[in-house]
Amino acid sequence: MNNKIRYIAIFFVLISFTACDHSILDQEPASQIAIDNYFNSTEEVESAVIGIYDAMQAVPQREFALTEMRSDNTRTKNSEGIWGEFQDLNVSATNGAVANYWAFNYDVIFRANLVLNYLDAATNPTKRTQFEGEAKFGRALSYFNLVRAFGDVPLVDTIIGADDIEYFGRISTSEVYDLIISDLAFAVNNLPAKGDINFGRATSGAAKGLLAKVHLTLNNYDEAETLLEELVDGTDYSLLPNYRDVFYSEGNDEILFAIPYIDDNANESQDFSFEFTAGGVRSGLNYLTNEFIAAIDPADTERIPVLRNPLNQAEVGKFITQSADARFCGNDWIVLRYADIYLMYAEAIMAGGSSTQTVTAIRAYNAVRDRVGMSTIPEDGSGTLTLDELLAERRIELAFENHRLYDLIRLGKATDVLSAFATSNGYSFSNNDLLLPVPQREINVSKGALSQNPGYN
Amino acid sequence: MSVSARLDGSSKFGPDRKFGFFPAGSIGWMLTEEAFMQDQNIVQDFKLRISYGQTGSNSFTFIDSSIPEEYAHIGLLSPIATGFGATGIYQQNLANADFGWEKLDEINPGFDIAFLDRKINLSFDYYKRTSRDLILELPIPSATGFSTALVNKGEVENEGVELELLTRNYLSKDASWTTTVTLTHNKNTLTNFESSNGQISEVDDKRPAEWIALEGRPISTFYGYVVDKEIPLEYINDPFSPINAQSQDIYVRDLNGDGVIDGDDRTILGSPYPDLIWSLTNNVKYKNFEFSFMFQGSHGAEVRNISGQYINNEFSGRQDYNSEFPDPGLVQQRIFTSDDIQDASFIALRNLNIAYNLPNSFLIKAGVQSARLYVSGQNLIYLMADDYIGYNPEGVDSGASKSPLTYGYQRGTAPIYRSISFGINLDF
Repeated sequence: MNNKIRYIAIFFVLISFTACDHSILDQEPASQIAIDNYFNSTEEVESAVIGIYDAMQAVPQREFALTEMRSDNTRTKNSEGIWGEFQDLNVSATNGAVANYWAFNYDVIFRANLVLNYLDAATNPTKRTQFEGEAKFGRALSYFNLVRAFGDVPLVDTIIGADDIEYFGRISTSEVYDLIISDLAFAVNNLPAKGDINFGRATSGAAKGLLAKVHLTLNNYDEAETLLEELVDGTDYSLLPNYRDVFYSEGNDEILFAIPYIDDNANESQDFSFEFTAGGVRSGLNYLTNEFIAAIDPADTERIPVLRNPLNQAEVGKFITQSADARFCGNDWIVLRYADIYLMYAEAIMAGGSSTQTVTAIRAYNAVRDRVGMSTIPEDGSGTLTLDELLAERRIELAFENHRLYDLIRLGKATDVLSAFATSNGYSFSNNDLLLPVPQREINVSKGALSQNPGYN
Repeated sequence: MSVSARLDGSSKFGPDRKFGFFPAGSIGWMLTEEAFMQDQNIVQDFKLRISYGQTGSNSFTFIDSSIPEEYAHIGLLSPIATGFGATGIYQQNLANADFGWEKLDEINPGFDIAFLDRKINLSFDYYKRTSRDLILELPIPSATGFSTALVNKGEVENEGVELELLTRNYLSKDASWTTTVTLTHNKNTLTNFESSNGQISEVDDKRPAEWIALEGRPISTFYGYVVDKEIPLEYINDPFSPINAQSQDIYVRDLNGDGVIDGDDRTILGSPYPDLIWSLTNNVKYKNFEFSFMFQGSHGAEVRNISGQYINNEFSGRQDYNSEFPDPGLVQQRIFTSDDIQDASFIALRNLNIAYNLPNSFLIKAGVQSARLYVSGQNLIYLMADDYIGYNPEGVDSGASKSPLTYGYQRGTAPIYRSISFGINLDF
């Protein structure tokens, strides 16, 4: 037996320990910053605030498809793929543009929550309050986007991890609106006014206008009217004399809030302008519908060349790029502007009715019409402004700025308008189409916490 | 017999998880050296062997290639430039202080035997590889602010056999002929996926076809709807534009019979892992001629092949159903259905070579040391499964395959090419 083992066993023991200095493995990255020890100063908190605006730049990229193309304003050129789904009112839960919109807005919310989490590191008290206001403004804007698009959504107001399943389920819209309103109320009271902060960052005026829109959406007409009156009576903003300049003279006095982009910059450019054209990768999105073209008054000569691209009448005339590289467009995205404030003011005074004779409402409506040389309503108390006139004016004045669908819903006209539109175009519409499907991807990873909206499979 | 052990450290892992201890050992017994085997001349070599080893893996790349792997457990901030006059930062990834080594246990018994004057040589291996704490970028809810989290999770078993048979069929002064056959069978099973059992993953947001990671199944398992029938052409906008076009949507089965098609009608559609891979090689030499060829085959794997989207213009709006179509609720896009799960089996004549070495007597006159004429071909025969639409059943998209959860995805892979080359080698 011993003999056998001697033959069998050629016995090697090789244990090699490489002497190792552990600190080599504990180094901090040289070219990047670790989150753990980062926030120690006002400047460092501000850099995270800038991060919120960076995330916002993703949101408008395909928002037009989820809003204008689901309304009677625009369509695709070719009806292809996921883009055709929007115009056909047949959006699938697997639609990638919908999944991205969800994720982009939650990215803004995460970055806002990050700022709020590390706010105490900002030692300058004035700045600290401003940063809190900016973070809350950004968070509220994204929740407003989400709640209008999807209805009940997960409500995250703190930093969460991958296993915090209690945050993954849907929370009722009324609770989401509670957070939006309290965030925006803080922003109204604590943000600098226009001119006291760089263009592109949130201001108290922007927060006021957005909060008014939130209140209008919830039929809180008194609250909306109070806020809008302050803006209408204020001096920070004005309607530009020339309609075209609103879109092609950036940073102008009509803008309450815009998301800025820069021409020909791989990181700071947008490409929605590119996709609006026949040369776009999806060969033409956000094209004007026949219904929209029919709704333009031929006398509206100042707005027509801005509504329709003079070089291709089927394309949108706003946001036409001047960049050298057609894919890296610098046109800012306008979130909120003064003409919208005027028209919302009239809407708030109308307060859910079908018309108003209130002179202040008519005056606000007239201001928008008068700027482009269109007929106005007498302001001597004899005139009447109807809801239909107001809606029609919003449709033209604010066309392609992603307001139409939510205007129809807010004013109770969505079912009538969209079912007629769908019938004449061979699409099928039901009220379920007024909310988008929750992205299938999100349902898949929610560990059962997320449910789908009715009417989607 | 050999034993080894190693202690490895990696900066990628969390403070308490940097080091992994990995022992290994093997033992072999050459039976033909034993006394009781000395009195026979049938078996020349007979060796039994077994090895066991643990290894660790720290190898992975983030799906987002802008994130470096070196400090993967740390939440990293990346600077951003903006037009606001201040520099910004954003967090690129979720921190995971518990991130550590992926461990692989492998046990591998086998034997090698040579008999009949070593004319027949056979190697047989059985193996069982168990991967634990898999390094995965798990998809997570976007409400966290991130789409994935880097984790150690799950246990996968790969169990299989490998067989190699080499025979020397003929040998003389002028001629020789050898044959090699290899057979491999492997079974991949996700044995534990903790709270993520049933995790559904997709490749990208543009073509979000789904995979499921379900315990008891391969870790990458195709998931989706089962095709029922085609939409009648009268309901397609423009069915013959162009010729060979095919509709985007297709009727799928209501598997749970509740009258509606929804996520509950999805099921397991297949796996990208083959049941059997084999090869057959022959080498023949006769005087100055050489002749060799190799067949290869793979059977039982499926591939999620979306080439039809392009080959058959499925994405075109002209292939959408028209407003007369009565059943929009009963159809799904093909990329989510069994229609794109195709048999990836193949048999290939991988290569064939014929060569002739010119005789020396001729060469010396010409002042040449050696000369060789040859002709060789690749893939001269290539058989694919009948239901496979495309040009390369072996092709797998490299981006999607970065994650072990979404293996077996094919989109526009380079075709298998057939080549024939002629050549002359001259040495002076």
